[in-house]
Amino acid sequence: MAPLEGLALLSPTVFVYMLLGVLFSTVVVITPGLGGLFAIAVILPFALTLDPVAGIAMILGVNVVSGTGNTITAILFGIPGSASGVASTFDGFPMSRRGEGVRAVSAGLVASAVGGLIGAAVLALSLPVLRPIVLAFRPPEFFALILVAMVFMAFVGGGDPLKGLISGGLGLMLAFVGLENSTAQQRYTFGELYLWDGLPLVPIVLGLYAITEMLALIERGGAISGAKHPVGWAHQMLRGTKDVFRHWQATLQSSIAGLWVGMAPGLGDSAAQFVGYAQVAKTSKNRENFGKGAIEGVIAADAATNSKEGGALIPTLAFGIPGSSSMAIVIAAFIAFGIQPGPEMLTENIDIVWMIIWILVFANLITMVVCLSVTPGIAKLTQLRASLLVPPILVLSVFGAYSSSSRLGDILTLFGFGLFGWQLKRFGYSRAIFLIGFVLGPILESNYLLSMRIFGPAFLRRPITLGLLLLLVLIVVGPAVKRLIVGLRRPTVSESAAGDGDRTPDAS
Amino acid sequence: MGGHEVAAVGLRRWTPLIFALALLAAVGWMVFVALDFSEQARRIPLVIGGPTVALIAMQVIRVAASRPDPSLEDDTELARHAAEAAHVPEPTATATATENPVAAPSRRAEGTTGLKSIGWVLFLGVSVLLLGLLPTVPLFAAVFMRRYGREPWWVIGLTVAGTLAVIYGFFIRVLEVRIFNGYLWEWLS
Repeated sequence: MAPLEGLALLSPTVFVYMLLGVLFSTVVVITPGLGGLFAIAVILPFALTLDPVAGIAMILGVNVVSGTGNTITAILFGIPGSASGVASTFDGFPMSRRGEGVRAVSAGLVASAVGGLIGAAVLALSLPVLRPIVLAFRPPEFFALILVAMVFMAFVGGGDPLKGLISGGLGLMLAFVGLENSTAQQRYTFGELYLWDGLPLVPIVLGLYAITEMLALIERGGAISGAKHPVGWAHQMLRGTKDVFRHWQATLQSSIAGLWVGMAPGLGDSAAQFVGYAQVAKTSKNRENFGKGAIEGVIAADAATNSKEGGALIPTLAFGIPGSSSMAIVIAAFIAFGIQPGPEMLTENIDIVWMIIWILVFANLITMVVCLSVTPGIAKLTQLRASLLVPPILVLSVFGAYSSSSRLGDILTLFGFGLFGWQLKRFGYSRAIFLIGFVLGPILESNYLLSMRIFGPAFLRRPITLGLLLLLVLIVVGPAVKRLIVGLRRPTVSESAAGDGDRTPDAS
Repeated sequence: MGGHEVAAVGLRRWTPLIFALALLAAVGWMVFVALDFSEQARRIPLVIGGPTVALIAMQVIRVAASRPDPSLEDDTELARHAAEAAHVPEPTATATATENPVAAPSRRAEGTTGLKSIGWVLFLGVSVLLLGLLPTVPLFAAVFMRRYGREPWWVIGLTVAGTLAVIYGFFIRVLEVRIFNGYLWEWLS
């Protein structure tokens, strides 16, 4: 049987290499500025010296859990190590500030593991019916999906929708800095070589979150966690674990959304968490608390982060098309080992496919245990006063930003976006939606241009695209119509209904 | 209230409007510049930029027409406002400070104005540019911890040693990051 043959390939030696990959990945992604992609790039030269099975196990060990370690710093300090941890900050950091950091991290880590297991299960089950699933979504559908996700985030982010939309627009506009892909025309580069590749993501993430949060902490004083006596970590850990299963719909929904994004070639590593978060926020009964410390928000962000790896492996293994940039490196490694991903992989190397599925299972469980064991210790740092916490975090952020490409411009970008992020925060604009726009901007543009090229303006009339765009209209118009109906039914409470629009803006 | 305080309060009242106007000017400029791009390169910047300009213009009108939010008139109030939004109790951890030597002390010892916070970050940035990455670590840690938190020297020494150990072990040895040395040494040599 192929599943057992796959398991048999995972010998003790191979298992140790996978474990080393998992541990290395966890340490790297906790460090500000160093994401999963970086971890794979660093481990690759070493892994290629091993025998193919051990090498693949090590690379996949690094890759499949590269989003998990992010959860810890994103939730406890509001500082995601890379863009793929940003959504965890939306609800995780407010929870950390009210002394529930360990609960939020536990929920996030367990949700990550469950999401990863769901990803592995779907990968296993979908092996016979892969092709129609992957081909159901084409550029017009992705274009509409990204628009819906962004607009929805603006409306359910817990803040002012107008400011949310503006934040998203700003992020998208800055994503267009650099050379345009198909014509190589310079856009907003001021002739600077540094900007030809666009604004760098890592310094921007660190600026918007690390610098901004430290600025806020310096101004506020005290510690990150406002709770004088947070509930014991064991109790919080248990509660966080239970939360994942208590909100099983959120876990499942977000995992499926993550899988879907993972399957879509070119949507990138960071998109899954945002789509998963928006998907859960859209249907949750507790949606008004999203962005303010809702545990379902944490679960939604993290379940999608790891389930997408299973999804990304589907086009990678079945068609040789990478579902994300990290999968592109995985494919390169496969080819270097003499294994050609594609349709024949599902027939000739089915034992390796099953070994990969087992790695998904084990790597997710191991990372969850490793991260949970270090969380209480790291969580204590949130009780430290600002004068002790700020210097190491600021200095490490500068090094993290600089190490991404060793260019001085990265340091300037870091500080520039730190100050900009602080202004966004002060005036109630959303840094999160800004970043989503920045990350998804190039994907939105390429899918729009492809749609126009393939279908012309008629791409808007494709059934799924049309359905998604109608959903977008509903999201925008829905709340106003609802308020109108409530106002007509109960005219005496119209004032209080109008007050909803003046909710405290999400300072993200 | 003195003249400076009146001016400061006035400035704070206008800052949301100034910020919105700055955003309008920046995105408006991006849209204007995009008109000169080739057909392909300008399509999405115009599709996104046009509505964004309209949305920011709406925000400008909204801010200009509304009365200033009293909670934004004072930086301390702003922090409280944000804390309430996140359902976070005020960070008055005096009791914790007595139980734990490294826990948060009262607001009297820490906390500052927004401009001074920016000053600290600018100090770090200028120090990196002039002195380089490595000398900045002890300098920034010592000045910040001493001035802002009145930390004892041994705590500062331990923090600097720990941070440098992480930087040396991880960034310099393992990742082999090429360290930026600062412009001052270049100019002096």
